[in-house]
Amino acid sequence: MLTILHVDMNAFYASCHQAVDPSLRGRPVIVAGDPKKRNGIVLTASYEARKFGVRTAMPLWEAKRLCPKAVFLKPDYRLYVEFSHRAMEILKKFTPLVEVFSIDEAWLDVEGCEGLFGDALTIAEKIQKSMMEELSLPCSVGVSCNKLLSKMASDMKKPMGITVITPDDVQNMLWPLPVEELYGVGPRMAEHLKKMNINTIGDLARIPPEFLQAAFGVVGLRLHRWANGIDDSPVDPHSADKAKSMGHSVTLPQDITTWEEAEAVLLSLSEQVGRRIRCGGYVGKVVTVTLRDSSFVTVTRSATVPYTNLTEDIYRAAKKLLHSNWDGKTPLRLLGVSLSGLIKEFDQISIFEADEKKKRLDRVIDEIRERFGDDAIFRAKLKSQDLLGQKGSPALGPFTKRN
Amino acid sequence: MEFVIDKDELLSGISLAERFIAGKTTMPILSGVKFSAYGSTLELSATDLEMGIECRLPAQIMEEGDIVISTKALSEILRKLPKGQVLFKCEGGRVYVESGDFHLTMPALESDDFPEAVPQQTSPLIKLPKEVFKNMVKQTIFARAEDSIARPVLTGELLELKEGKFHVVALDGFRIAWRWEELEGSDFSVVVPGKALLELTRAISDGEDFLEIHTGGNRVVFRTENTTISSRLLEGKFIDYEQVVEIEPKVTAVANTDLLLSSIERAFVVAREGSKNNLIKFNIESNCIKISTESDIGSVYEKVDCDTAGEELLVAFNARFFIEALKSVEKPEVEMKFAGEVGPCVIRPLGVENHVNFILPVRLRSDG
Repeated sequence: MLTILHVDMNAFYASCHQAVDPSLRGRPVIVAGDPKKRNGIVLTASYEARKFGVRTAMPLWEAKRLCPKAVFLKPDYRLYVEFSHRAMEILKKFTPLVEVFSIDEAWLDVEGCEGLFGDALTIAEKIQKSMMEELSLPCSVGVSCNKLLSKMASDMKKPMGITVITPDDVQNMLWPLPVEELYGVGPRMAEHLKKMNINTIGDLARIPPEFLQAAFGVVGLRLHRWANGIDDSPVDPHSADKAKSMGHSVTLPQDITTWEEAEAVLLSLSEQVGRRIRCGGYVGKVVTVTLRDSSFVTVTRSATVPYTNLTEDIYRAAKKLLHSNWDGKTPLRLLGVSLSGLIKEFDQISIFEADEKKKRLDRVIDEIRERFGDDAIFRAKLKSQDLLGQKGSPALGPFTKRN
Repeated sequence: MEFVIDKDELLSGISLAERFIAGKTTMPILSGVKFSAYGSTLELSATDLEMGIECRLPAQIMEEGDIVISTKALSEILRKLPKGQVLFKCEGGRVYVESGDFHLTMPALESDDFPEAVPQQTSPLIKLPKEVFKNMVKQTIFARAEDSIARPVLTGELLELKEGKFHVVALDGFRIAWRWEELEGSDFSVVVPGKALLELTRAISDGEDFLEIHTGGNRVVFRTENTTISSRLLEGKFIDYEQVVEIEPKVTAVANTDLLLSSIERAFVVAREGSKNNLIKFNIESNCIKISTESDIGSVYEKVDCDTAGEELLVAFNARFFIEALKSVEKPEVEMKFAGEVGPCVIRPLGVENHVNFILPVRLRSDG
């Protein structure tokens, strides 16, 4: 059943500016960081700018050379968050099963909505129309039977495309693509794969999974499933509520070469992290510090602390990590602090927690008994003298007789 | 079809039936109310296919028959008419309504396509005074889940008869509200959507009559003398509530219901402004509970006297759960058994067995 949709807002940052300022529509628009702060790279280029060869992450000076007539804008994150929020609200009109994946991407599971809005393809068309009419934002929609394939599909035709991938299309549409086009394959993974002579998604799909498992563990197995178009993860509307880590980093206007400066930056980062953690009602236990020096060598180190959400605790751990991983001289270009291992500071206990645990326990016990026999495992409560004296399974017969 | 009926009777019947009309529907006939006049009874029925109602009114019937009418304008006009009798007459696909010098003509629909609002009933599974049932629902329904994608069954209430006891149970995963009464009848177990039960409690008039419960297929039927309501059932299982509420208390406290409730309500004013699930803390010490909470508004602290037995305990709860549970208690004193800082609290009116509230706490982790 093709009921999973992936909606990807096209050139989102640039489109937001074009939406609020109609004079920018049809013109090349480039959103880029501030070169004075040394983060002058292209964050998003409108499709008009992309025609000139401007790409995301390109240095600003290069973009200027390629497309001197472009309108260059600094990022306005509040604008993007506002538009993102409104775009997600549109999606939620079609189904409550909307998983927000990032500021400009989301999945929908429209199973059971056919009676109200038509089939998945019709819904995709309606979404695209609503986004354009209500927000003036272009988007591409992928339609398929699972999250992975719908995400691959939304990427095929941009801007304003709607692409359907059925399980039968995987060989034709996915396999010829270079392996780095597969979701989950980053530049580093692609490099490894190419060394193994895996160049296309099809190569990855056809290789025996044991091979990938040996090389990359569970990640390898997952990639193998994905390359075959298999993904059974559900569209989870609450995935964004379950933050796993929160962090901040900063590229410094000038390289840092003294302890005082580095510590001051860490304190300010710790403060920002702490505020967000407290705001979300979390506590965390792993403090991670990222240090990048002027030759782009990056070091990431972590320390475990008792659960906390206090700036003081985060800073103390971060400072300690700084002192054991930096000599106080090598020019530092970027510093980052994050807190992970997050759990909710307050946590409403659920009846099903205990229930689920019991069910899992029972399942595991059943599996063990199936493989190793009924005597292989039994509850310690049943391990009293008279019971062990009996023959057969200590967990079954005798206990029931005793009652 | 032709009949004469008291205006206020008819208006109350139509107002009730209109609550069961489908809001959005692809079947236009479902946006109407069916009028059936036979013998000396006018029966009004309406359904959105999920729920349905039949409501029987006394009328003087000159000619028997059925018709479906869109009642929106009619009920508004009836509301504006003076008290008195109304004459209804149906001829050639039109309805004529007369009252004094007032005349109304409006189109009507054939009743042939109107679905059965309430299935036929045979003998009831149980019979109990309607006031008792209404109260059982009111004392539990707040604990159902408002909406649950993961477990839709929890948006309903469990009604079951077993071993001579009739149970009404609601639970949302964090709390349970449970009432039972001793009752004869054949065993059954169904989960009825909360919405249908809320409409039912609204529709049941006060009085001494009995309510019958029937089931058949995937529907339940509630029947009183004048009104019959049916609903689709929810599918799924409830957890074993009887076993879950059996706890080993670390401390037991007995408090004055009203004093405890008003204290928690005061704390709630502050707690609800925080982002922490209306979190309030109970510090249970010897012969008192110290209730405290804090948020951006400020902080609250109050000592409530009570009788305690057991250990001292610090435990936190969602204040709203406690308020709703205590409001359902009709006795002056309430007994609370606490199982620990991550264990449930089981609340019963003092000396009462058949009214149980179970509330799970909020886990506190400030320094883990």
